[in-house]
Amino acid sequence: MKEDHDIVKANNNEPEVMKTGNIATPDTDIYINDDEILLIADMPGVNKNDLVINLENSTLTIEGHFEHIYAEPIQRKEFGSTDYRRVFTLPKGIDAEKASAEFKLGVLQLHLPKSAAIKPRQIRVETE
Amino acid sequence: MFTKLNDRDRIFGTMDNFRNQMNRFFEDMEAGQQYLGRKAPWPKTNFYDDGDNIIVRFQVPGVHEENINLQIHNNLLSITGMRKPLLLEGYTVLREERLIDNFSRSFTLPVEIDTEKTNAILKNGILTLKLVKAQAARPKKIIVKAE
Repeated sequence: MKEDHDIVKANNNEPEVMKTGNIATPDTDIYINDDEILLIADMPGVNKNDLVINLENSTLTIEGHFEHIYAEPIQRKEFGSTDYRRVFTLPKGIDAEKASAEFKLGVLQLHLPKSAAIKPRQIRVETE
Repeated sequence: MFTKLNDRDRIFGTMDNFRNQMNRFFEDMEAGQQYLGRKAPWPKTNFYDDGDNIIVRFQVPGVHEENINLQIHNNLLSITGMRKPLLLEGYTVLREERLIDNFSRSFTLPVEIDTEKTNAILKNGILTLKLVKAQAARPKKIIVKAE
């Protein structure tokens, strides 16, 4: 019986920390060619160090945080602290080891190369 | 079916709840109405006033500094510019959401600006513009003397 009590009792020593600010999905362009998938996402205000790109099995998660630093009286506010987060499901055959990313001017460019096995191969027909 | 009074209460409680949710849904729709069918203003802009300066921040991801044009004329602040698309040859588009290429927006400033002292910095896709208020427009402190 004692064990049941332990399960039911909520632990109030460590209150949950809720994140403040908005959660936004970054606008994203996705391009594809024979060699790779190229993903371009707008994440204005995010520092390079606050950017997290996670590739697990076929799930790609991009996350970033923009901290709004001004405390002056705000006259007009169209954006504030923002948590950017977006999850993509990738097709099979992405070579995660060779993936590379650049972050410039608040824009993320993520190169996801296709693994050799799924690249289109041309078969040349030879005449005798 | 509704033998107990509190059963009936519960049914009506659920209906009230549902009605509230529908109302909220319609309110949200009306709030978004102003941008339906046309583009939301771009870039997103914040204005701050710290007394001596007006600080303006624009969200301009992917725009190079040489492609931004800021102008102040008769208390009208305008930002125009363009975002160059990346040169992508041989790629097929799967999804395109970053549709902004040329942009322009203008604001009426509430006070006179000392245009000699303005500065603008672009960092991580956010442009911060500092406008120094003209001497006459700054708040003045009045000292109270005791007799």
